[in-house]
Parts: sequence; structure tokens; C-alpha cells
Amino acid sequence: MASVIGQFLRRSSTLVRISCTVQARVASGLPHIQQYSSSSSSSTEEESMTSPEGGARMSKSMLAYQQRAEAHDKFMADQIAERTLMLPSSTFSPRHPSNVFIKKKAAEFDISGRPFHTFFYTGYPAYYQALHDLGKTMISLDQFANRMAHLKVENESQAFNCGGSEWVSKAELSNKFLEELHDKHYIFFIQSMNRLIEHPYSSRAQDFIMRFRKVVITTQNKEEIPKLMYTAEGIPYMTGSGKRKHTEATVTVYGRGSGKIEINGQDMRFFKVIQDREQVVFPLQFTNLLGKVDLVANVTGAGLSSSAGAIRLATALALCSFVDEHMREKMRLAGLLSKDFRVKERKKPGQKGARAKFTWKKR
Amino acid sequence: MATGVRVLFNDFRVPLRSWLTVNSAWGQVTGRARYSQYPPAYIKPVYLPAKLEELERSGDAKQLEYTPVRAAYNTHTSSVFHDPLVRKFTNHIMKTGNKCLARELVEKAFQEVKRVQLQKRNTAETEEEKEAIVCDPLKIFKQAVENGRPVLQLVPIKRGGVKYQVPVPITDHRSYFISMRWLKEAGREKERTIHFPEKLARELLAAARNEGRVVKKKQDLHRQCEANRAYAHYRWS
Repeated sequence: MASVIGQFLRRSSTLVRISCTVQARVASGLPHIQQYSSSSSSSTEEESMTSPEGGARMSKSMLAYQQRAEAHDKFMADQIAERTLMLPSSTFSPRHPSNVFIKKKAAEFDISGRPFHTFFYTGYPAYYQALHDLGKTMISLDQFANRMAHLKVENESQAFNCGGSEWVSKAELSNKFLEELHDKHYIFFIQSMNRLIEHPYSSRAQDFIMRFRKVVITTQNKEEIPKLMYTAEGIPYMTGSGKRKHTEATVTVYGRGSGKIEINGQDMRFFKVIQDREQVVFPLQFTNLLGKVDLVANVTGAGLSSSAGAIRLATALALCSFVDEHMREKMRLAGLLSKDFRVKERKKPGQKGARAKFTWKKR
Repeated sequence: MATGVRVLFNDFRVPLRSWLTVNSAWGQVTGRARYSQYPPAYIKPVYLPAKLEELERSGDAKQLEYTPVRAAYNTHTSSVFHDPLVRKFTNHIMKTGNKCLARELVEKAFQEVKRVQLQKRNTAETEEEKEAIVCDPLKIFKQAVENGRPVLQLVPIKRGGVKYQVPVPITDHRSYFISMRWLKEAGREKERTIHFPEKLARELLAAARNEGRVVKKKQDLHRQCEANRAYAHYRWS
């Protein structure tokens, strides 16, 4: 390929322009480049009229050729540098060998052929070692419990709270031990670990337990609860905002009130449907603050039912500042502090609704 | 029997404990909705105060500390007037999404029940008789539904080209549904001059006394199942 171009270049006077079109194919690899300037290093301005080696005079045409060839080489080098950046191989960095080659166990024998590990002949040395460690941990926890009982120390249950994490899967455990585990191995291991967790002092073995658990939810959704604000008269208040479908609501909850509710300048009769009124009152009633605080709500957007939903969320969020941690957790469990993500599903072309189809008759 | 009414329809079809163990041991939740807007880790809200208290007592609330919770529905409240079974019944009565009307009808029926029972109580002569009359429409409703629940159901099964009506046991959930459907149908079968809530109230009172169309329907079904017991083995063979 390159030699063909070389011949072509020698004949063509417009070599630079043409090489542009050819070069995309050439650019696929650096080894294909051919240097056309016979001595790219020594061709400078001073010795332009002399040959590189002997200092003999060059013909004008030869000189012109030399210059063109140099220009071409420079152009090619630039182009290749540019194109290689765009090649797929350059878009991601080379992978680390540990990612390409599966992890293997190191030699398990010494030079005389004796296995290093005591459990080698079980076939699953790492697995049984982990079980062994588990047993030892359990015994140590029992001993600790006995000592505490002997000393008549009565404290709260120190069982490990494993919320937010779950056991690693069978494949992950196999990968951890570098041993191909069977279902029975995995089930037995998890059962044993569950027994360890149930131990009243299992939080002392937290590190051991967490070696085989992975974190599912990294952060508990405990945002900073804003502090209560006070009006000029010293009445505590807090503002919350909530959304539901296409409705947005801003609610200000005033403490030391008498249970007045104002929605867009109207009272509770803003909502005609009783279910909606129930929704507005839900967080107040849940926190036993009904009749003790005042509500001022502003709703924009369409839909009465969703307005009630938005006000409910906004009120609940504002009430967080009025109640204690325990009640906040209860509100969260009751689903008052989470946003309702559900929206109307769009209608699809070719069918009657979002899911409903037209009646189909064969003929 | 009123005290023995089991609390169902509590939005926890799967008992929480078993659900938790499934979740923690295998890292998977089975049987969730395929098209849910919420990520699979989200659990259903526990909005009933009694349920919440139970959660806290059993220590499951501590386990749920890290679990995200879905938003409560707009039909959920912690009000003392809220009852999951009544909510379900209202939805059965509802036509074309008119929940306001459905709710109104149920409430009117309950009012009627209360009125009838109070009248009875006021006309009763001795104190013992007065004490014996239940005036709580909710209790009467629950009793009526409980009395209307069938145990078996006839299912057509084809064997050798002939369809046999085979008696099959049904789940608790379905038996509640059938009982409530019968109540609703009994309320709708009426003369022109009587309104639905009145008729429904009468049926509720009758069913709570183990009388009336619903209980008769249940007994008929049981009788038929008894007659077809010879086909019962078609269920598995």
C-alpha cells in the first residue's frame, strides 16, 4: 500500500492534496508510515542546495521534491497524531491485567509437596477457615456474655443492627474465597452467620460480619431538620413545600394555634371531597397536633386530589421541625415524608389508553 | 363471634416478618409489581397507628430504619374512622371511579344500620336486652362480611370432554371478596322504591344475624359443593 502511494507521490505534483484522501486508510497504524524525505533530519535551509551526504549540488526539481516530501511527512505525522485520538482503542485506557485475568489461587504447596493450609484436603480451605473463624467468634461472644452475666452487668441488647446491608451473593462469596461453592455451602454459611447476628453481643463481631455483607443503602435519609423560626410576636413557625403530580404547595405551620386552616385564602371548604380534607388533616392528626397549630397553604397547579396530596407532603415536612426524632421516624414509616412519584401514564398510539387496547375483531 | 373477626386487608399481604427475612437473607424481594414507579427497595407504608405500634414492639421498626418507604396513598389516613375493610368495600361499590358517591352510599347505609339498631334498643324493655343490641355499624358490617364468607367454590374443570363443577377450597382473600360482592349484589336487587343504602343496610343487618340472601347464597354454594364432592378428585387427577 505504502509503496503504491510512494510511486504515486513521485509522479504527482499535487501530492499533498491527494495524500489527504489516501491517508485515512494509512492512518490506521503507525508502522505503515513511510518516510519520503530521504533525510528528514538534515534537510535545513543552509544546505538546501546541496545533497545531504556528499554536498554535491542538487537539481532544482530534486530540491522541490525533497521539500514536498518533507511537507508530506510532517502533514502525515500531524494527521496520525490527530486520528489516533479518535480511534476506539484510544477512547478508554488500557485495562488492568487483574481485570482481564481471573484471580487464581497462589501455589498451595511448599517445595516438598506438603499443603500450606490445614484444611487443604477439605477441598474448600478458605470456606472452612471462615466457618472456623465464625465458630471462634461465637465462642468468644459466649464467653463475654458469661462474664457479663457473672458480673451481673445488665445493659441494653448489643445485637448488631444490620439494617442497610445484605449478605453477599453466592457468586460474590465464591469469588471472595476463590473457591467454587455449592448452594449447600452458601446456605449453611448464611444460616450460621444469621445465628451469629442473633447473638445478644453480636455488635462486638461487627467487623467480621461486615466482611460478608454489602451495603445497600449508603446513607440514611436523615437530612438536616431546619430549626423553628419565630415571628415578631414570638410564635414559632416553619415552612415546607411539596409536590404531587403537577401541583406544588407551600405550607406554613404556625405553632400555638387553634387549628385554623387556610388554603389559598379559603378555609377547609376549598376541598369539596371529604377524602381530600382527610388528606390535609392526616399529618396533623398523625402527630397529635390537630387543633394545636395553624396552617396557611398556597397551592398552584391543577387537580384537587393532587392539591390535597401536595399540601399533605408540605405540611408533613414542615411539621418535622415541631416533633421529635421518634415521631419523625414514625412519620417516615407511615409514608408521610416521601414524595409520591406516581404520575399519569401517557396514552399510546394504536391503543385506547396507556395499557388498554382497542377491541380486535378478526373480520 | 364479633371479637373473633380477623383483621385483614392491612396492605401487608405478605407478613412483614417473613418478608424481612427474605429480604435480608437473599437480597431479593419476590412478587413486586413489574411496572412500579418506585425502586424495588421501597416498602409499603405502615400508616395504621396500631400496626406501627406493633412494629415498634416487635423491633422490626429498627430493622426498617434504613429502608425507604413509599408515599401513603390518598385513601390512607390514621383516622379512627378509617377501616381497611370498609375502604375495600367502598371500592367494590364504586362505579366508573365515582368514589364520592360510593362513599356516600356506604356511609348512608351505616347511618341506616345505626338508626335501626338504636330504635330497637330504645324499644327494648329490659336492661339486658338493651345491652345485647350492638349499635356500632362497623361491628355489624364486619360480622356480616364474616358470616357471608364461603369456604369452598365450584370451578368448572374439563375431563374427557365433559365439564365438571369441582369444589375447590379458596383463599381468605378471595372469600372476603366473594362475601362483599354478594352483599353488594344483594343491595342492588331491590324494588324501585327502595334506595340502595336502605337495602344494603337491611342486608347487612340480616347477614350479621346469619340470615338473608348473602348467607343463603353461601349455604347454597356449600350445599352444591357437598353434592359435587364426588368430583373433588378432579382437582388433582
